[in-house]
Amino acid sequence: MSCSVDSSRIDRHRFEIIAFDWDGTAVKNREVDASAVTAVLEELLKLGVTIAVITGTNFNNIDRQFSSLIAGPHKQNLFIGANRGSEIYGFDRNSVPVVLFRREATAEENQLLDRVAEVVKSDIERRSDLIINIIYDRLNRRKIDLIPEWEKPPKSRIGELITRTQKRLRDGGFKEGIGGAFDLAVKRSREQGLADARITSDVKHIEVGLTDKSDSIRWLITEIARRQNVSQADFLVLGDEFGPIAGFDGSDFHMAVPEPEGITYVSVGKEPNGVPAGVLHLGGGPACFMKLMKRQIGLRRRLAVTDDPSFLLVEEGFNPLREREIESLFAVSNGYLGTRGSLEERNRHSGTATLIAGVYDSDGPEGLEQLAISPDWLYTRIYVSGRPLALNARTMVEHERTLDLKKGVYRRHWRYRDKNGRVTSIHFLRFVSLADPHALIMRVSVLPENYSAMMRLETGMSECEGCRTSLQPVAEKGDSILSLRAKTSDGGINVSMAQRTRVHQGSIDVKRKVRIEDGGIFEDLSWQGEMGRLVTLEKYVSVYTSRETADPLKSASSHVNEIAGRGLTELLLEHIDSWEERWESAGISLGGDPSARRWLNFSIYHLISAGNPHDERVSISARGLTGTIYRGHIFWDAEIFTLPFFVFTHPATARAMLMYRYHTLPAAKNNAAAAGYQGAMFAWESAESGQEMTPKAVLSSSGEVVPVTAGELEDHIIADIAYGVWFYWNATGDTGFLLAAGAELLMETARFWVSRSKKRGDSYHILRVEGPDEYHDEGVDDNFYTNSMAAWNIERALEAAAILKRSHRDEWSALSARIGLKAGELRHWQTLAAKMFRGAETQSGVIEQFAGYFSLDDLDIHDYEPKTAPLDVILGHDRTVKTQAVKQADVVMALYLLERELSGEAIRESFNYYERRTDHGSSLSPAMYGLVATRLGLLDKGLAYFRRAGRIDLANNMGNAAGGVHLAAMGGLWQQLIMGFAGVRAESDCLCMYPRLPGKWTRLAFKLHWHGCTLELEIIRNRVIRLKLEESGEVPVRIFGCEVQQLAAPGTFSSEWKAGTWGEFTPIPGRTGSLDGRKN
Amino acid sequence: MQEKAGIVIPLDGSRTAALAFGAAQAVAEVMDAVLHIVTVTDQPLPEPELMGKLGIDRLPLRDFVLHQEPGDVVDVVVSLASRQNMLMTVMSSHGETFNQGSLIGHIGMGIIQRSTYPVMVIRPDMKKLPDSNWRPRKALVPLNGSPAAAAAMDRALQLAELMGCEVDVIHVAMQGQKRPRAAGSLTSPMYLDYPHHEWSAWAEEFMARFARRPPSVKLRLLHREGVPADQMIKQAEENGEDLIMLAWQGSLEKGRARTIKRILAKTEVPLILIKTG
Repeated sequence: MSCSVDSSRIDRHRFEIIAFDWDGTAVKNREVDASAVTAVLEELLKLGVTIAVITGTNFNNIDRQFSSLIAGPHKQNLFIGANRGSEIYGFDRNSVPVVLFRREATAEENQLLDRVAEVVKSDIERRSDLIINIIYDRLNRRKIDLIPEWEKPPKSRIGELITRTQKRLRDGGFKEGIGGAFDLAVKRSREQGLADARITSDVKHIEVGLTDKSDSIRWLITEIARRQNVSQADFLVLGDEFGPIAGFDGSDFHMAVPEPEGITYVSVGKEPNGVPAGVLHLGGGPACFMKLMKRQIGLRRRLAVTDDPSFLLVEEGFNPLREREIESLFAVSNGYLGTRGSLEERNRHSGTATLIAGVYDSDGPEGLEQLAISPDWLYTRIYVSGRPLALNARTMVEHERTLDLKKGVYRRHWRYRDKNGRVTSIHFLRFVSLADPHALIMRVSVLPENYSAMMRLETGMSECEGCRTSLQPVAEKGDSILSLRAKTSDGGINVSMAQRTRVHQGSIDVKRKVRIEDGGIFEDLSWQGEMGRLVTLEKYVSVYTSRETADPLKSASSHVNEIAGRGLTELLLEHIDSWEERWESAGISLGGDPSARRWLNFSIYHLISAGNPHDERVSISARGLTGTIYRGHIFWDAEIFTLPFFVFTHPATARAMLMYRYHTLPAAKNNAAAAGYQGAMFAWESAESGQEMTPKAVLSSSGEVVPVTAGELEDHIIADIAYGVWFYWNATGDTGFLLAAGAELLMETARFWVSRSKKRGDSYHILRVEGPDEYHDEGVDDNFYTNSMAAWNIERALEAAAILKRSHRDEWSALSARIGLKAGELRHWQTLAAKMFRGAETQSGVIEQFAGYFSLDDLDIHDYEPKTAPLDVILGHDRTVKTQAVKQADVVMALYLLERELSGEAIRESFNYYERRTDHGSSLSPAMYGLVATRLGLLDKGLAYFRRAGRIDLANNMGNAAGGVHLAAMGGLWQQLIMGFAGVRAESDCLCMYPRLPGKWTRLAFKLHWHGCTLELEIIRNRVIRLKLEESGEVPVRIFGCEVQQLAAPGTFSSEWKAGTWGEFTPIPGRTGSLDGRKN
Repeated sequence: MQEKAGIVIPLDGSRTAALAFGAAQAVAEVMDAVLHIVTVTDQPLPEPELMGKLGIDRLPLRDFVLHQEPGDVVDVVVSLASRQNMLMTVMSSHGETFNQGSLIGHIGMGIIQRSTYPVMVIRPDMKKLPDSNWRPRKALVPLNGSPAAAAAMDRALQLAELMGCEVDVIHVAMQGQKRPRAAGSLTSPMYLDYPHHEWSAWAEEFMARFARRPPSVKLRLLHREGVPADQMIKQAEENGEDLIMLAWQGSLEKGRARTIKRILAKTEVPLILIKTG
């Protein structure tokens, strides 16, 4: 008998009460070993599910086979409805059975039952030569045995039982058969004065009783579902005999009580005559029952908090000083939109913000764009007896926030005690769907623990206090949908939100009112709260903007209906599925260092949250969608620090990020023209338009005007973008991108550098720039990083041109025409790149950061430790520029990015030189030094930098995450792991690697995408690299220092550590399946 | 009716102790508080005689209470200052025996160490001693970014509001000292990825954490680098600060409270000490 659970949606619904028939449903019969099904049901009990057995037999039979095998506090969730509706047993905290309900027949009722059974027996015997038995010793019922010679017919032989019983009756002379016997029992009961007789049959018997299974179900509804305030929709009833058998209702049909709506009824029986309307027939018998129960366990686990602590960010208590920092760390984002981890009810420490990628607003006379803060969709406040609950040390009994990094779900548990000792327990859950970017979901459950009082819950969408960019919400009242339209203050973009709520109030009457105010639109839900009775609200919000649709309000309203219809569990499962898919591709398994695992998971969570593969008009800003301090501006952080993560784990997002640059190309060309250059001069700080968003000057805290030179001088971003383009092309081989956008980006950036370079003597120089080291911000000449990256940019443009000329002649012609390429231009570029001044070197091979750097005052950064601020703050700007103090990786950045162009000696000597002079006054720096250190084999040093980078946001005494998390540092951390410790290099002809793990790390495993193929790598420190190639074709791979190998996919290969180095890859014969790269 | 707020001034009859009287009168005036003049003696004197002995008989006194108590001076002063309505104790750093080499006399030391309420200390050798017409307009409040200092800040802002002062909050970046480890600490930003964004955000966060001001107090955040005490003295001198308010933990033992000791030794403006913890 098959079990069609897979084709139903039933295993996507989380049931709170599961009631079922025992014999034939949960077990084959009452003799079999029930330990397996007991173990599964016990697990459900432990997960808080109410389990009820509804049986015709007595309690002892069920207890012997099932309930006696269970012990523990969870057994209090178990109930046995025995004797066909006449008894309910529960269990106390010591697991001792307790009778909770018993129907006691009166002497008169017992006499009546005897009489009815005897009359029926006598009727049948009189009209036939049959012997009919009566079983008297049953509570509140009598069993008329129609086939005494077959003592215990198994359920599985129901068909045979029907045939034999019918034959016996008819052959014996009772032509009406089983149905006739049943009808006779009904008739005689009525005649004898048994008013509400319950006549049932399991074919072998006709039972005449005072109760049936419907009484057990009704008791559960009244005493359990209502008391726990469980909705009927979360009540599952299973049986095996709902459908008619031999002309009368199946024994489980009585469990399908008509009055409450929404209970799910499932039959796992054979049901030869079908099932009544409203019952889902799955078939499959006890095996199917078991499968369903296991699915419920799986579903609950899936919906629950991840059990791996390295995926959990937990904040206990409440420290108002850290509140804005916590909000950033606990932000939930999906690339389209991000919401900070603010308290739903807000307080004076909150920096509530919801930010939508690409929704910029401009402010001030300079017209600088900044990400607009959208209306607050979280706002929810709870009132007890009219008084709002507010979080503070005095009233807080418990307060814990958890961000599940694996599933992208934020949870908050808050127990509040008022001055009268009344304790309220509140659970919040929220997520912004990764599966459906416009869907924002929240759930709040309120439980008065020790009191009953009038409760009110106010929830809506509103302006948030302290928003620096003002939006203008216009509330519109709908029927069940609340909607709100807002505009950015410059009127450029409409943001619309729509809200629907669903309340799970069980039997509690919740009144709903809609309230519209200037600042937003709210629903007020009020009810008479009863001690121990939970009320749960689900809030569905949909967001659309005029960036995506002409009528965002209409889209939001229609969408919110759709998502509310799907329900929270379904949306959460889809969201979790999406996160799982991303972790499957981006997850890291690291053995031996739980802290490092946590830093990595935290970083990867925020990186995934920041990227949006669906929108080519946005990229990843410095703090993503977790905070406002960088105004949502996009820097070189995007291409150099975060892009590689996406290239290797989610190329679609990387492509969208680069397409953002392509769409801002016109502005970049205007920027170049305005500055007197050719080609594309991308803005140092970019927003929607691509125009320069760096202010020319800012006011210091003491009112002093401080010039900002980065927008004018940090031209290296132009080559950084080209680097990102080439990196993506190299790793993906996405020809479509190269033809549509990549080549043009490379050509126009190269053209900028050509116009930016000055010829002095026989070489070309780039004058008056600012490298990544912003301590020297007054314009330096021949910054090594800038010059080298510029030359590299030109060379890659030439390479792209050669590819197009060779393989895509039509596209090349079109591109040449589009960009107005002049005859001889490429030749000039080639000459210029070859003659670009790449910096002076000392005798020992140290590269000079910029012209004249070596003649500055020397210092050793360690002489200034400890200190509470970056060195330029301690020394002052004027002094700092005269020293060799370096803010962040500058030459060292080039040692990483342009490794192939530099000698090993230059890399080693330069790293050692600059390390002593680098202050790491930027969060971008530690991971880059760590990466180069690791590649140089300085593993302890590399690990120290890795720790430093990992703690940038997670240390609780830094405070610098208040304005948002440091995404570039996170991307840097990931790069240090993959490009540093694993030694991965994306080369033009292959993927290269050379892992070196620090002593503490035992194992590292991860996946990478390379030219459409998935590579799964497992590194066991100083023992073996295992490489699994999925898909098909040949994958060029190289161990650093060895020749390129063409490895055939699919297949698994290994490289062994011998004599202090890795050997070439050799196939592992017969190895299939995952390398199990998730085990730590 | 609620008792009026009070300012406590201990006097021992010495000229040095009486040098703080002008400041006490001034703050009592500006804070609309009663001046509680306290002296410890086993032989109470008639009021006019006592006033003469304390050297305040010729001063115009408006709203004051004279306390003559027997016992230990520190006990008496601390007990009086601990009454619910007392805002602050104002005292000279020294009494009868003023030694320029010592930071504070032993009675003064006892009072500041045991007081849980703010104490304004007046150095007798200040070039310009506050008189009863003194009206503090600007107060300098250093904040090291630790949660303990933040707790003291609430009290400092309350006093500033009562005195009608603007507050200059000063944070000094230091070399030779590690960042505080307590959760919630916030010193100068460790990472300034793009300084023009970071500084304004840091200032906003710093003030939000540590200086949520009453609406009537005008606040300004200053960031300096160097030795904190020197920077505060310099700031007070160059920017016309009228007083300095400092959080401290109550111990001037060797090796502790270096900043307070240095300021006590060099300050030319009154110093208000606010106990934390």
